[in-house]
Amino acid sequence: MFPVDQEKGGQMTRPDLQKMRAIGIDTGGTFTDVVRVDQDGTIRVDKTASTPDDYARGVMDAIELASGPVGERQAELERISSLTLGTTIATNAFLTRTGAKVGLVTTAGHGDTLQIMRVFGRVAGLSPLQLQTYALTDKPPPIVPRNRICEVSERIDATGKIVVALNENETREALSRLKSLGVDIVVVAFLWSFLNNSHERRVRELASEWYPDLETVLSSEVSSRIGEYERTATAVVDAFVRPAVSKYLGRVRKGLDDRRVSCPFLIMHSTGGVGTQSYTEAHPVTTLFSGPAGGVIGAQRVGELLGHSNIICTDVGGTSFDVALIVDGRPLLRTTTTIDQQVLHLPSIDIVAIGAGGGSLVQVVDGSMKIGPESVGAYPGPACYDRGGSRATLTDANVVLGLINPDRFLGGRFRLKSDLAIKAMSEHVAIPLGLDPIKAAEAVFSIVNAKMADLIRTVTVERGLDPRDFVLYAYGGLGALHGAFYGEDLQVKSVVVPLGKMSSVFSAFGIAMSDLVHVIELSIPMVNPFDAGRMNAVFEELERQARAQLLDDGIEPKDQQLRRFVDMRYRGQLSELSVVIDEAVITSATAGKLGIAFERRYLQEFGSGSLLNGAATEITAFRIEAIGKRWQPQIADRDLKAFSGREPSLLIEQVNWPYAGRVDTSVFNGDELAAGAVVTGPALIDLGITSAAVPPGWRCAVDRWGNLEMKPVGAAR
Amino acid sequence: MTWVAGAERFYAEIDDRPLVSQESVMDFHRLDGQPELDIVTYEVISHRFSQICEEMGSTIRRISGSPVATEATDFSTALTDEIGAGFIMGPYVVFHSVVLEYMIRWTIEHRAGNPGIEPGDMFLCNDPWVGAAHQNDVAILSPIFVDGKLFSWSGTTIHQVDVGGRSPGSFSIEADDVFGEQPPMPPIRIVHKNVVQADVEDVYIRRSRQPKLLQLDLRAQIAANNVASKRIGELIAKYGADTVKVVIKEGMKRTEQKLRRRLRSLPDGEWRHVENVEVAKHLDRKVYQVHCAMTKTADQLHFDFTGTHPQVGMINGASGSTWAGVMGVVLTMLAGDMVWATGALRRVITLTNPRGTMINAEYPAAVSIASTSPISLVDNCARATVAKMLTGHPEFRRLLLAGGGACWPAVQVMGYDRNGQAFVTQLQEPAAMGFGARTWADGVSTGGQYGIPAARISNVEVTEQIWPMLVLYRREVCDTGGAGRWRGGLGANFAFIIHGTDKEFIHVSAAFGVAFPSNGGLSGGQPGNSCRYLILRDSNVKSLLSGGHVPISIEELEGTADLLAPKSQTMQCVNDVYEITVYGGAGYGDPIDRPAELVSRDVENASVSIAMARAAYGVVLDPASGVADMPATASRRADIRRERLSGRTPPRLKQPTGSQPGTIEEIAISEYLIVRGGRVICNECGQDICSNDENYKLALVCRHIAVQELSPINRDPAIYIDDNVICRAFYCTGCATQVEFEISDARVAPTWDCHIKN
Repeated sequence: MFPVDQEKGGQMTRPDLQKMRAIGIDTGGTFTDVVRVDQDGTIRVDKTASTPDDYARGVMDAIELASGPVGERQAELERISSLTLGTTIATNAFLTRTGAKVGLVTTAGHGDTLQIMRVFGRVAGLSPLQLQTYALTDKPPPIVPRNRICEVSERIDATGKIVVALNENETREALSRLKSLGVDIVVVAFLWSFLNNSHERRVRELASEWYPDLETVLSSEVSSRIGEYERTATAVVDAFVRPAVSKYLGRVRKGLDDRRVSCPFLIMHSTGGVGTQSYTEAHPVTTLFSGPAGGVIGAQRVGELLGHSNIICTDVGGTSFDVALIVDGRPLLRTTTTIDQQVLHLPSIDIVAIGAGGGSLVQVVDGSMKIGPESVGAYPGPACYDRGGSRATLTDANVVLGLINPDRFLGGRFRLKSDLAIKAMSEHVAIPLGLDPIKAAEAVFSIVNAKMADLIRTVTVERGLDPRDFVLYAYGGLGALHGAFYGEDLQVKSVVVPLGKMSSVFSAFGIAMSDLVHVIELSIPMVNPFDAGRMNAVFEELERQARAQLLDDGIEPKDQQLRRFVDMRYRGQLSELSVVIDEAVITSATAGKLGIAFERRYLQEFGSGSLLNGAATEITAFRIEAIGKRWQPQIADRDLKAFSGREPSLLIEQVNWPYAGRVDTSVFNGDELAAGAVVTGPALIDLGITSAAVPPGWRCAVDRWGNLEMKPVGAAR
Repeated sequence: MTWVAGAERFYAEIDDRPLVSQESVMDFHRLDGQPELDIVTYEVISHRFSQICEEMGSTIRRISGSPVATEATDFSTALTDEIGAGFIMGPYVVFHSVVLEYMIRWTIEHRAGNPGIEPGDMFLCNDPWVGAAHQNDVAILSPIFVDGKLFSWSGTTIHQVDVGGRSPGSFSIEADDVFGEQPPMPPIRIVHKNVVQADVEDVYIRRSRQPKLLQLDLRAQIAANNVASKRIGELIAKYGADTVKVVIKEGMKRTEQKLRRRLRSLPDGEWRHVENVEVAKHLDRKVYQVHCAMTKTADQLHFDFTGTHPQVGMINGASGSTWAGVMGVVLTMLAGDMVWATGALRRVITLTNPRGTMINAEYPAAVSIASTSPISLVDNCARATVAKMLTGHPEFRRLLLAGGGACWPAVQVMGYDRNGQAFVTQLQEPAAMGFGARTWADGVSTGGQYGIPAARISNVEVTEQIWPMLVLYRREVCDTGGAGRWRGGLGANFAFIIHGTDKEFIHVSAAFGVAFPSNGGLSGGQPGNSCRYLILRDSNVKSLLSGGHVPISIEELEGTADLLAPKSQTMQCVNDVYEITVYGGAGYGDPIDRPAELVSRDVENASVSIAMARAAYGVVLDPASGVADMPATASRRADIRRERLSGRTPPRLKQPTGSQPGTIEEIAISEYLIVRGGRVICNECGQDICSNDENYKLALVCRHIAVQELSPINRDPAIYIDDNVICRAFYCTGCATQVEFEISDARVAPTWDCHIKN
């Protein structure tokens, strides 16, 4: 991204390419990761503590850290030409219920929509086991209490026709009541507003006339899709997180100005695209799940380099295991997102998570082993951290096995206590099961890998995909250590630890490397045979909006990429499949073939025997995915000369490999492995913050960008 | 004895009888001895089983054409061993999966020889005597083979909106017997060698008003069963058939052991419940009882339904109903943290259930609403008895729920859509029922139906897009939650007019709990509202709308109110407003123990009316601020205590002893009563009530309360029924605490709820 001159409405000035530098920052609960990529591809990685009282401060710390020692810092800071942030601000404000005082104006008779939550709110997003005990399930606390929900007479029907005109007297009463309750932002959400938003717009007009300082959010501007509960909830969450996001953005801008960093900054969004400061301020809800999306974009970039277009992206973190897919070079998106049991009309990268990470608690309950979803968190952390935690975790199991060397953890900066790991594993796992601690740790390791593989299997097969057609990317704190194990069972083509050392801060890397993305959609039902003219008209209007937005973001037309989709189904069905349309102009011939394209997708998803020959198909929604390409540095080749002529240093350690027993294991320093090097398992490759595990019977090839690609010995190249 | 000679052949049973007679015609995969099983293999394979059930569910959800399946989640998936014992089920409709075992055992016994059970076959069954919940719940059973041996089964069930018969939606409210409703289909081989048999399929779909939906759903079920066969096959290829089978058996064993351990920690005793149901068919006006006595001895549970009313009208269930109702409660209140291996649970839980009653009817009784009537009635009985047993346990009391969404007040609609196409559907709004209160929290408002762990209703916009309706309102209704120390969750109402067509709708209503509530409270907590079906005929709704006003309650409208009987069929015309109000949940504990702040918050949130705050909770609110007036409240509550004792001042002060029952010497039998030294004692004031070996309710002060007092939604039961149904509140003779509350036919004596036998 080039510096944008805000005054001139997004025109770009082209700086000296040699000086360009991209920075990506991923702010997590404990650490803020920063990745710096220069024009020549040089990469630098840093970590600093997050600052929960004011996350913008941690961002500034990270930028300064990445800009070298104080003396040379100013010049370095001024070199920054692209700055992108992943943030949990919106997520935190929502989960802790510390947001704006929101009021809601809605259609008379439908003021309970947010409480009823389609009934499903009691269990939305819970795991099957959590559903089983009814008494322990509940709906989440409301964002808008009932007394701040006002119903006004108005009604639009399913065809977009006005049945009852907006009652302006009731509107006035509603706004005056909300005002007297001290509401900051009013959400206006009427039935069928995505077809006809004249009533919602009229309420905004009246509000600005009567209460000029009262901010309004219209549901039709947040979502153009059918489904009043999700649309209203999305608008309400958008309004709720607005002040926190806006304050954060303001503080970041100020911090940058204070440091004379003039480039604009961008924010990672749930779709895996970035948005400008002004776009983000206007659409704060889109920053939910900003961080995890980064890793998927990073995988997409590395995939482009390696020619991988089908990738299973896996992130093993401290508390969770996240899976997402890249198919035909693009991350799979979902159209609704569930957070804290609220289902939102928020397009996001389809990341599915289970509670299995380094801090996941291992317990024995009634003779069965239970791993996660509870986690010990960063403090006190696993038993081996020696910070007062005594319970066994996945990390402790890895230490017991020798897969994590206590002296090399986090590059040796944080020494672990293996005796505490053994003690915890004995007390909480081995003794209750009548095993020795190593066998117990082996069981923990294998079971958690199987669960991870099961999640991947669910995610792929539910989308009609076969994991054997994919390369698996493993990143996050423990991805490099576990990847080969959960990948093996799935028979993926290979397991890649992307960019080696970078894999543990991979989200920050992806954040630095992402483009602008907007998803613009509209629910309009159409029945086969489809009217090509009407379809073109809908798409042209959506594309006009998309291009206008990208232009507003400062993206020139040549860097704009738009893709058309329709959601289709058999008449009578209620869930849709997305079908891509490649033609720029739809003719009656292409419209006619849509049914066939749909059935092809259908067969792929559901298998033979599921087709319903002769059944009518219909379109339910139109969608544009708009991408704005921005400047990105190339990933540098490793300098081969620096490594040739020197043998990598080698340690031999004793490691207990599951199913192979205690064996001598070569330990390599990742920095010293030359491009082209091949390591045969059993081996560990020390990557500083983490290690990659090459299991017995596997080998690992290092490429010129530092990627580690692992395969079972004898597997086809 | 059935008068249809030969009908007995279709009575399915489940037991551990090996299917010896079939060994000659079929090979079963059985374990040779006990192969070694390590913990990793066990965990890995059993985790995969649950993943398979979910994958089957997502397949159904995505292919099915029926909102009932995709939106309301009225479907299920499960896996069983080679003879039908369930070892895992998906998180969908519980009772569907529970009854699979009946159908699979029957299929093996009656189909193995002729026409045979072969790889690539699937059987369709909706015969309630063979085990189906009712005819609408169509199961597809799929055998899974390894090396020519029958290894296991998968089963899927979807509630079909219409499988034929006299009434749209197939709830045949006028039927005297099964010949007046859609004929059941015993297991038929609809898929042979992986091909859908066109002739068989045509027989199935021909009878329906929605044959295309049936076809689409059949494809969904086949695809889901294919998923199971494929995935189980992959597991066998990797680990070997014996290992996979050991994991199946081990999982069942662990669930059994865990439930036994839990039962051992609870006191021995007998708990009883009598459930009332009104109106056996269209135009009937009587009330009938289901009797349940649950005995817990050591690590066994036994449910005895002796005394239940003989089969009558169209409110009966056949072979699987009782077990389905019992399991719905056992799984979600006692076994929520276990693998749902129903095949194992019946080793722990036994039934005495004579044939010929409403809940276990002889052929050819009318059974088309078995899923919503008998199964729900049994569910209510099991819920009440199991909950009372758990009340006394310091930890497990957290897991119980008071009565709530156990029934399904069906809204079956037939009409013509905007394109002139006829449709039949079952609206899902009844799922917006309140959950019962807990021992530590209020019930969840619009929490769902107890039989469906993850129920969902459509958005109003989706409803209006598919069907020609305009939904006037859909809201949580004030005063529908049962009063109690912890209040029941609110139920919803839902009102619509015909919009976009001038053709009228036909409505078939089938419910119970309309004349009086069916959602019983616990420890003195009160039931919530009863369900109400209403059509406001020739209303002024159109003129209100064109005048710019959207009515948000029936009171704002003019017209002729027509309260629909619990089993009725009627027409809705273009100026008629249809409204249904579904059940709220029941309360837990004495309402006047509820902290006044909670009541004033309830009033602020329109969960409780000012009138009800005063009448039921004894809370007086300051009219200006809405805050509870504490002195006035204290005085009102003292008055209530005196009223309870017919004007006498309670002889003892309410002064909880602080004792924490849970020992052998002292066992809590409710929130307020304990058993100590063979005596029942009020733990609130120390009052000695009576001997543990007599019905303590007879020693308490009892007052009758009218059904209408429970909620303003409730109408005089005499509108619907001729029998006299009353509420009885029971008070401690010492402190006047409301310790029990029951709904009863006036002719039936108070139920002896709990008899500890340690």
